[in-house]
Amino acid sequence: MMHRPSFLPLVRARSRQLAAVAAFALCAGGAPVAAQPINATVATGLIVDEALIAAAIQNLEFGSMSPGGSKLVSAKDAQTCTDGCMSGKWRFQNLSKKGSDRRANLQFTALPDSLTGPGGAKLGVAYNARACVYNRATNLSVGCVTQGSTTQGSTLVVPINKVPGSFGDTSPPMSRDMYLWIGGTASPRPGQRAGDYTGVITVFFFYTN
Amino acid sequence: MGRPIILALLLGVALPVAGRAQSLPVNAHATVTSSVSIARLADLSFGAVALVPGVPATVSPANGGMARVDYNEPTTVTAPAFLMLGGPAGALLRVDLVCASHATATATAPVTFPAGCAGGFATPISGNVGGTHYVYIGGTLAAAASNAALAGSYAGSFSVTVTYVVY
Repeated sequence: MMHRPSFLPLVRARSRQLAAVAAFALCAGGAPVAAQPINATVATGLIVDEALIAAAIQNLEFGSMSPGGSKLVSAKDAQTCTDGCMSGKWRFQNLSKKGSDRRANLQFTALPDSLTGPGGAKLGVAYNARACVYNRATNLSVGCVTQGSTTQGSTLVVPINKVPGSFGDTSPPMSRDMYLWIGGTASPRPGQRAGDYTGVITVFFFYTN
Repeated sequence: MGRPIILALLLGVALPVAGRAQSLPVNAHATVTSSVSIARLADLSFGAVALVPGVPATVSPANGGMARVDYNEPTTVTAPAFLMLGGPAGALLRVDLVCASHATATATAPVTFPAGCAGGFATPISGNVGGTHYVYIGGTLAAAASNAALAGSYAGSFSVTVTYVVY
């Protein structure tokens, strides 16, 4: 019973195909009087989402610090960037345009637990991160997600959908932008070698449908 | 006619949506400030016993003046090669300096500066942190210098200098 409804149309389709073949054979056998064009209109289509636009727009800058002290740079959102905007920052646009079951995922694939300085000296760093989603039309925050500190070897994932305080599955379609900030605490040891210390933090962004 | 139609339908279903993954690096940067200091621990003294004119006098670095250098980056420590001590009636007496260094303050045989006091000494550093080094300064009074010197007390001072990059 389950297959019967779909079986019958197949039979009908095959019958039509045989009839068409028979008609073609008759035409081929006789002398054609004039061309007889036959047009068929076929509907097709596909959905092209707006292209994802993602950019790293600000480096994480701890500034100057004395040996033996520590310095905290908080992962701040745009409205509370009171520390001179020293946190690292990324922007992602055209997320979840369809507002369906799509999830946007972020991973820090490179999150070094130390920055490298002169002579290979290491400066220990721990991180904090925060992500906020904005309605682009109003530039208002839809919600934020805060992650705890993490160190190298662990993976920080910020699943934007389905996170309380962010935005849910049933939200109406809208153009959303997401910002991701990363801050941290740098802790130079007593006598820490003076100089500039650097490292690279990499965010890997991907969709799952 | 049937084949193109089927192909078009397949295209409509199977065309891939644009890529949805990207890696985005940012730089993290910090500057640890310089922390370098020098302190005098002992003066260079030829002793309370009067020197005999025409007789050379020497104070070894281990028994001379001392300065302590604390640093968190490579520094160069220098001192003058000699100084002129001032004596009675404006008399001058030349003393040549001998510099040495060691990681401790109680070395009996500190390492002499390779190029003299003026040539300097580079404080060693490795790993994540700096350290402490001690500079020992001795002096030599040549026989010729003291031969014609007026009797009396002579004194002078000199600076031990550390040079480093300011962060």
